Amino acid sequence: MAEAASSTIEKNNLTLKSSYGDEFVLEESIAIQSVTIKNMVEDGCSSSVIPLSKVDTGTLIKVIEYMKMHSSTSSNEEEIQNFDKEFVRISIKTILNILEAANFLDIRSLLDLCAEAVANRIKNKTPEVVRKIFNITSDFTPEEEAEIRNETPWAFEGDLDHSLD
Amino acid sequence: MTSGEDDEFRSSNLTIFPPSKKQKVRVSGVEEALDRLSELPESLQVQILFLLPTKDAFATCILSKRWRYLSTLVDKFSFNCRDYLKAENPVSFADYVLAHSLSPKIKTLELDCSERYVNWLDSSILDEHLSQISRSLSFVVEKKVENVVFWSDDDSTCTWPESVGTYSSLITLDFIFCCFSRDAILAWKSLKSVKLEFFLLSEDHCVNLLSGCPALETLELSLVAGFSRLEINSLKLKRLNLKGYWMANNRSDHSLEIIAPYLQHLEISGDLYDLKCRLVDVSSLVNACLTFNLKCIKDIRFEIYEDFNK
Repeated sequence: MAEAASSTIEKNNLTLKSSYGDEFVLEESIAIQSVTIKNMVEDGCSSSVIPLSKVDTGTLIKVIEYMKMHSSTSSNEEEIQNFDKEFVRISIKTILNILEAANFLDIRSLLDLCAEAVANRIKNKTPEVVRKIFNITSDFTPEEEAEIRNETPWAFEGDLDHSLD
Repeated sequence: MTSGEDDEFRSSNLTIFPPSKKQKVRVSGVEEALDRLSELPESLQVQILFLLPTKDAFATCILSKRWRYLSTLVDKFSFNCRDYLKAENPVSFADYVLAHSLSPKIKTLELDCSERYVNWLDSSILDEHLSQISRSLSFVVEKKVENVVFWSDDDSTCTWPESVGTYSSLITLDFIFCCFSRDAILAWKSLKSVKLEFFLLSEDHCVNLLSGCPALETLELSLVAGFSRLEINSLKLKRLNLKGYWMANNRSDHSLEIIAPYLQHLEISGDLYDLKCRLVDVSSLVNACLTFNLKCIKDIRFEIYEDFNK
């Protein structure tokens, strides 16, 4: 879709407004990587400012950074891969923010990247560590938890990772 | 757009008045302690589970009641033979997970049976194991699985339940290192892509497969052997990848004729050894990528090779 967008001759700018009220001007061809924004543009709703009430400023800056890199014609595949790798080396809280924003804005590749980053922080970890990383509070009684472990011991054995990253 | 404008109004208030900064800090302070992962839309949670190895995805069941429910929605399973071992448990991991799945539809089932002989030389374990794999494959039928990947390391012991051969939900199928039984029914009505790797395929199988899968668009044959003629007459099948040739068969005639008048994309790569590959009819071809290696073996060296094979 990005290719089709860059072939349009006129370079329209769009203004995206975060939930904190901060405004960002962005080329339309870059912004329409978001299917949500693309639909708004096509429906003629984008004449002025596009309010993104679900996306805070910090998250929007990251999303724009991602869209700019991914629409850049000067960067090759390897550079983009390295960019993606670095892009998700951030706190899990920020990743979850971007994941939700990508879901709302409908940017498939960003959604996949963040979902993968979340999955990597669950993979091969003990349940205690996963709870700590994501602030999950167990609502099982100790007896219930013991019962689950007893019933499905293979789910919790093996060489598990205890680190918090 | 009304709600958006409301929010815009609210948020612009925040930036105008000094308390906004304080408020922001407070809000994010609250967020710190929130379990954001558990509050994501269910579709995102399921997507995250999809990206995890089956064991990790299933192990989330202990995190909380919410995750116990989510873990039953996993729609991708990948098992290897160890997952079928019961050890001291009454039910194997694979059987338990499949039995507790509530997902009405399964996207992907991957069965890796390639380590079988390394680990289990005891034939009674092997028999038990095979019947369990067979049960998993029946599950393919019940749960409308779309994509199946099956690794084996032996061509005669793994039998497919008859019904799998005609199951219509399959969209992609990858077989690695196995083969079809002689009279196998190969009729997958919705199948779009087949990948056969390290595969002994008879000419009858080729004919049956191509006529039984009318929706097939892509055929990938990687290190295959056993047939010398491939005739593709389907209008839908546009892509053929031939990646290397398997020297495992004993036929002295290593030749292959490809008749595919409607094929548009053809890729031949890898080592073809002394295979004489003839493109008899590929008159609709749009793209062709030919990057194969051929070996010219002189008579005397060929004999040595034959001896070596014995």
